Amino acid sequence: MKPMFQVYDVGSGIDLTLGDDNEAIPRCKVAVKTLLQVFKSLASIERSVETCDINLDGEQCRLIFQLKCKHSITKTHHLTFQECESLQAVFAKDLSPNVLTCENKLLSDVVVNFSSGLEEITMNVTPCKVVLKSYSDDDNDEMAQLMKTEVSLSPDEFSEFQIGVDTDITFCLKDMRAILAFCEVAAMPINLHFEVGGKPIVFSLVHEDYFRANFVLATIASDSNSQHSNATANFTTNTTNRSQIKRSISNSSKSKLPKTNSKHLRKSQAQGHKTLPQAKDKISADEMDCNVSDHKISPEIPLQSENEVNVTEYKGFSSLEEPCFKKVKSVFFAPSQYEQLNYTRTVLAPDSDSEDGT
Amino acid sequence: MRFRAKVVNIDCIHHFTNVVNTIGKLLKKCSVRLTTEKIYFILPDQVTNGGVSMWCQLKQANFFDEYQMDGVNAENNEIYLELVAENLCRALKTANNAKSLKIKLTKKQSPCLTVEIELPSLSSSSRTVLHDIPVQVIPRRLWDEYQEPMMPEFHVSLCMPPLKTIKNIAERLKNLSTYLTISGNQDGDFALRVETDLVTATTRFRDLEIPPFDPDMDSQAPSKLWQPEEMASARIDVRKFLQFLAGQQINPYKVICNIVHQTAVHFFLVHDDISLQYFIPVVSA
Repeated sequence: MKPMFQVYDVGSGIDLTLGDDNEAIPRCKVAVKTLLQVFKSLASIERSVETCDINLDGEQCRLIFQLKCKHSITKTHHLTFQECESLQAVFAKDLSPNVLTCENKLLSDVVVNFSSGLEEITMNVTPCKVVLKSYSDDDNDEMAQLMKTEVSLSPDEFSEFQIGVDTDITFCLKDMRAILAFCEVAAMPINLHFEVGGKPIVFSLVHEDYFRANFVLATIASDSNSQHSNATANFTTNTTNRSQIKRSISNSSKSKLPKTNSKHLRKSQAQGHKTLPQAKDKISADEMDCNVSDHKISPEIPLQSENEVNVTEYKGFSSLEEPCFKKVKSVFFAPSQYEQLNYTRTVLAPDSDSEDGT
Repeated sequence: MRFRAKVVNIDCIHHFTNVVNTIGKLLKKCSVRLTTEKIYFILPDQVTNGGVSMWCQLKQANFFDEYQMDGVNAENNEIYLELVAENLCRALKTANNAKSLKIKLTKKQSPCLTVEIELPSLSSSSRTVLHDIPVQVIPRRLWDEYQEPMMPEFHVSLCMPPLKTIKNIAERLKNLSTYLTISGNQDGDFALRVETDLVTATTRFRDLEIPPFDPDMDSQAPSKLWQPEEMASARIDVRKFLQFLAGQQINPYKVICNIVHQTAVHFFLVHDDISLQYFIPVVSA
């Protein structure tokens, strides 16, 4: 891959701790809305910006964007960042038995047939065909009243079609729409790596010259429904947890990221600017990787037998019946408050916004 | 009870979609009556609908290439269903460039109207999209509620000016008041009037066509038309009127407006394959 930046210097100004493999792990985050303000109008950026300098000022806790424009105008933006725990995802994309590759238009055309309010979608794969249908919860009467849609695709429509395990996998449609919106502008084929319900599905996109993106979505474990109801019960007992989790997600809304990325990407492809637009892309791609794809899903996590439900929670990353967890579904996250629930597994990602701080 | 219909011609698909979209804009829940010859979309006159009612019928042969209907029993060879109109609209939206469209009555977890659309695709086999729209079967004892409404003896009957013009005017008038008075006479005069404390705004049309009274049409009752000079008027809720105007996608030849003085306004859309009637009752002063 070509380097995106002309200068890339990780100084010693911030406290970069070293991870397990001795790689420096960035430990700060900025609000996406604020970041979008810097790159608000693509047209004007194209016209006037010549270079962009990005500096991290550890002492002042500021991320500084300096846009040097034509006519010697310099626009400087100081963004506050917060330190946070970064989460590392461990997902074995390359070991997935099921891999599908297709043009993003295929999935966009399919997804448009589903009602816009639909939350989850189920994908059923066999070596003969791929069927996407609206997810319906058998227990829920209200859902029975809604229209259900089903689209079948033949293997010919995919440029790569490798099915190792026949499976039924359910994940969030809203997230998928956001991912497809991003891919549309990247104009690259999209790869789906997945295994079975319960294991995450990875949408990956490689843009040769600039970046690679992995969107990891949680999926519902397609085992018995009782696991779902147990999961719900567990969550309702801990309202404080919920609010903590909500805060810590802090709108790392991927739908915002793809939008800006898409604009920049389109333009940068067209004009080959090697400065500002790509800088943004790189950061976003990393941020996406960190925030979105972080959690260890290995089955080695020790579980008590009564906590069968935890398997669902981890795999499914929260019960999908609880509306407030809809965002959590796609972020691998385990708040430290879980310790209060008497689970014996190790907490991999303590909640950075918790009162005891980190 | 069985129902199975198929359309292959894309123009017919579009035409049917337009009808359904028009219905969808007018009502939320719609009753569908299927007979061997026709398909009816009905909104019966119930208190819950605020007094408005709608009756739309189309000849199935003009739309469908294949049509099989087996009703409740031999004597009552019809099917009455109730569904959310918007679902059908959404399902048909997929059929924009479909190769074929099939509609069937099925039983999944509950009775459903399944819309099966075959879309062209790059590969050899085409893509199929299936929509299951939950429906409720209306039992036979309630069928009487869904009979064709009796035409009231209207006092004035004339053809309206183009609906687009009327719609623009009504939209402006809506800002002044919630109630609109429609009046007309047999001389071809037609007026839309809004009255408030401060202002009265009237839009008049003259020399409109008077539809010939056609005794063959089964939906018209003998009418006691007034003398040409006498204006009959009815005061209706402008929002209901706009709802009727806003959703029009059928492009009828003409729209006949029948006014029953101080009672109701009745709109009758005339088209080759379809006829649509819409009643708006008067709002009491």
